[in-house]
Amino acid sequence: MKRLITLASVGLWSLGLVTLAGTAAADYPERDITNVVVWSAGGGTDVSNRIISAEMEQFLPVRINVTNKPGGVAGSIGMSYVHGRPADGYTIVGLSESCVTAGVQGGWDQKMDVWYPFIVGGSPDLISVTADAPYQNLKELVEAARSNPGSIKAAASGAGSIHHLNLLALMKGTGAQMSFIPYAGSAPAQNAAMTGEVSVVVTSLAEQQQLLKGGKLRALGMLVPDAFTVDGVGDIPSAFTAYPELSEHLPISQAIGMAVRNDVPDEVKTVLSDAFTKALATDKVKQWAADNYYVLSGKTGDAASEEFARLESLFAWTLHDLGAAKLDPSTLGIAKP
Amino acid sequence: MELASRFADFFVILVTLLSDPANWVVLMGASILGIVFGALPGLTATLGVALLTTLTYGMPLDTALIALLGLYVGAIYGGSFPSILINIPGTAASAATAMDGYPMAQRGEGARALGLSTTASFLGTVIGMLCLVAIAPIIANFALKFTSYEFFLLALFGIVISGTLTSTDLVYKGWISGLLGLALACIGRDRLQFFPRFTFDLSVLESGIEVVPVLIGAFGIPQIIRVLSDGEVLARPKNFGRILPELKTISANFKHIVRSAMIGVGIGSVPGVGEDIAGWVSYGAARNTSKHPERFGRGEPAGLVSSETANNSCIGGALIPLLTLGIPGSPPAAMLLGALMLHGVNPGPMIGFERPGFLLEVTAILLLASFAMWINGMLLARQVVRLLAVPASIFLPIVALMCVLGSYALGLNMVNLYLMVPMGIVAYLLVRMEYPIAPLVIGVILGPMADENLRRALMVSDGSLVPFFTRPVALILVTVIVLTLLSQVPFVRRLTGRLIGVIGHVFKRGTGS
Amino acid sequence: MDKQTDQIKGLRRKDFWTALVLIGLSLAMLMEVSGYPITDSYGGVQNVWYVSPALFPLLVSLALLLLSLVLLTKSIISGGAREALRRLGSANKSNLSVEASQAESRTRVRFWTILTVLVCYVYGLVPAMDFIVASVLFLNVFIGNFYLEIDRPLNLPILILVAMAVVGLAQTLGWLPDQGDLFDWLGLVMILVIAGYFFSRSGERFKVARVFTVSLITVLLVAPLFRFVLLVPLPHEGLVIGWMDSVRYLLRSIIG
Repeated sequence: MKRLITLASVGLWSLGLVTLAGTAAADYPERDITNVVVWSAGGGTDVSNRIISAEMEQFLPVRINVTNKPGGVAGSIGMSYVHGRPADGYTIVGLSESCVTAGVQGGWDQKMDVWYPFIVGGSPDLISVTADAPYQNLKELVEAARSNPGSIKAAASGAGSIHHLNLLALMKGTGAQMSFIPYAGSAPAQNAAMTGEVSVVVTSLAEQQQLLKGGKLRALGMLVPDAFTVDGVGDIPSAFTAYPELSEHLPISQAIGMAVRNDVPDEVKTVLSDAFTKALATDKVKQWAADNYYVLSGKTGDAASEEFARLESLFAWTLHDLGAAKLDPSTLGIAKP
Repeated sequence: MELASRFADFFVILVTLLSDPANWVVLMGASILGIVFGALPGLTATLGVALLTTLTYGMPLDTALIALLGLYVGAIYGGSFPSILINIPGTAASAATAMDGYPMAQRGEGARALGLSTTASFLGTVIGMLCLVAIAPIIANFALKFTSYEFFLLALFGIVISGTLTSTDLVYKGWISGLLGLALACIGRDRLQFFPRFTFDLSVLESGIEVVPVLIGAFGIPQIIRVLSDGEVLARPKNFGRILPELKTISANFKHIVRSAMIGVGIGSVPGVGEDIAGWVSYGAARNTSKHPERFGRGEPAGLVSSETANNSCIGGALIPLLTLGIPGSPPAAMLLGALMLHGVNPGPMIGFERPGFLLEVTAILLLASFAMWINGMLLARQVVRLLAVPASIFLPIVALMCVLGSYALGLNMVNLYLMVPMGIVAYLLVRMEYPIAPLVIGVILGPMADENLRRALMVSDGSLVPFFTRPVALILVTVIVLTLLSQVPFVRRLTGRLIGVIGHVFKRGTGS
Repeated sequence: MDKQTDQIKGLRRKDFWTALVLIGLSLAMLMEVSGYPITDSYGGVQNVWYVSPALFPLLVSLALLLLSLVLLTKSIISGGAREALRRLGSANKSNLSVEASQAESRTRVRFWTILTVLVCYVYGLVPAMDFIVASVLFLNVFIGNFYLEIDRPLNLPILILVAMAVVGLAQTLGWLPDQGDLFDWLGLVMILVIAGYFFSRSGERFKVARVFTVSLITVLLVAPLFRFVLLVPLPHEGLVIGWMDSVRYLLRSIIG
């Protein structure tokens, strides 16, 4: 019984503390922030969010705890969770461009405009072939695919993923028809290209760099307007040089980042944007981006919202055209690209 | 010459690591945390590595690696505690350990079982480590022999073998259980085309059924009910005796250890599968080569040793493709890859040039981690046994609490929690009718892999089944699966028995005349 | 065969019903799968039979159907089916001895107790009540019932747990407005009521105290470990976790 009394008194005492803390409320943030990443730990979005969150802590008086809440369609479980939390800026969501399809896939009934995003950036996609494949450059591959449509097998992660969309855009822009073999992620897709199960693979430079350097894969072209130089591999030309008409369909770039609810107080947006911008400018982040061939974006505010709106419309309508969307994008009010 | 200098480098690294007292603390702490994570139902190696990734972000790379690998090794081993003591595998990796460990504990050899599993896990980790340092390129090439055909067959084999081995009544009850697992695995969006299957328009089912709630529900809840309500009696600590390394039994089972370790390394190195099925495959191999297969499942030390060696040697195996190709060989290794990238290490074919000595460093840490695991294991086992002095009516409700927390903690998803209870009830009913539960769990784990790779294999071959019989590894797997299935059909059994009799008869007559 | 023939007979009898359930299940699966795309294009992949998302579930359900038919045949051949149908005709006429049927009814009570406690905790309390309060409540009732060997099916603690779970579930489903901290306070009070009940029912004061302290200490060790050391957010964070949180901030501000 004595223990009970002690317990109760401790309880009341701390209750007093809570009210005290409440009246002495300082500016945002005064409690730790939770960053809920909608993809599993260890992936690109998770790693980026952990690094940026850790760097942002230096410019905030509190900690940012990163947790993972994967699942649902296109990260819908994590997004619904964060969207259901109070609009106070203490719960942020770690997301990526692939989340934009959650609406048309029936994962939740919201558009991406419920978020106020901060875009870290992403790694550009490129097209590569098995090391002993006969294609020395993109032209040879495209010619081979044109002369014998569907005979060349191309790997990318599952239907509707960013790499699949890049592959589709490439095929549309060059007129090369390859047969798309879906994999459960970039790693298994690259593995299949190494084993020779498929001869072509589309993933990001960050994911491929080690295999390119080790000579396990041969890069044919970047799917962005710029050429890239990779140590020990040399220049990887842009696919746009050989096929300028690609610029109508590409680039479709990753947009890894974080977001808060759009209806949080303006003060919260300012504080977070400030910390985010400073974090992206730190040497540690710059070094990490360079090592991993990430292109930092740093977009916040309207620019970031616009970027997500563009991606949402592109992804949603592409999925719709592929017949893999559950809902018509127009019912959600998503405009055609 | 080169080997000698590598060994010299290895010892330099080892000494450097040990010269920092902070590393000692981290090593021991991570190892104990790992064992606790493995031992508590629902807290898995994967979750442990994920949580430590956050906590080690600010540490230097070698300290972080010590923490992560220490935890990984500890967690794979720690699962054997609850398997042996209360028949609830702490992780899927140690489900095969329960087959013989729990009967051993029930007949009063619990201490022996714990000692055996500790030493076997230690040897498994060390052999895995030796493979990592000595023959990594060969193993990596072996892993590249696995394309969609082989992945499908390997998944199928895992289900067939666990179904065959665990059946106590009719053998096809094990297969039915495996099929139920596969059916559960079909729920959700298929990973190739994103088509929703068996989701009944419920968005919570779209991401499919996760392994952890099935694992906890199916193993934990039936055992809680059986002990608290049906009167099954847990082993008591006073019958346990002393916990020793059991070197004598170990040396008697040496051939099982070496074989299991090799199986573990091989399976660990294949991307996507790991500890979960390595234990079963090596258990099956041990039973098939044993002189006393009938003793398996009733407390045969060889079975326990095989499964524990294999699941720990898997770690070394899983690290091989991770470090040489950047492809994780098992689920916890996938988490480890993320942690490495967080520290700016990009594992892959070029790691030897970009970070010379990194491979040796990992090996040295793995060695330290296995020693830490062994010491902590021997010390902790004594304390853990005492937990059984707590009456089951207090102990098992606490286990139930851990089951609930565990099903929630990995994905922070309430749906997993809601799923665990019905899974447990169905599993209890199945257990009552003598359906083994392990194949169901294995089915849920391997189902997506089987589904995806079968269809992809056919996609690549344009619908032809021929490659299943022309690719060498695939052909071996097909043969083993068919033999495993056929050997259980009574008609075929009789036929082969008769055939052998006839041949023997003919042979005798031939020599006699 | 070392197994009791009685036991095997019992299994074959049950196999008859399981086989029927499994056949039903596999047929239902087949029906569902038959609606999946087999030849048209879906998700950018041209479907042929071998690419279709229907292929794998189709194979699984066919295999399941085959094995359940084997199971059914076995049950019929071994006489289990006849026995099962005979029992159905003369329902509930068991020829058990008095002690055996008593033991069986005790087992049944315990089984339902476990199930009730677990279901109430998972579906009712965890989503709506502070995790620490909910867990102490759960452990108190669960351990109390079994450790103190209260073999009455509907005792006060279980009724309290059920009532709290119903209120919690109603809040989760939105039938009741969210009660916030009030619900947690109610939970705390109920923990005391339950402890009081056990004290009044059981002569062994020491054992009752043990139930209470074990539940409290376990939860107070485990929950903060997850919440504050491993940084895993708990399912519902209300009153008590809020206190802990503010104590933590206080400590942090003192340390600097």
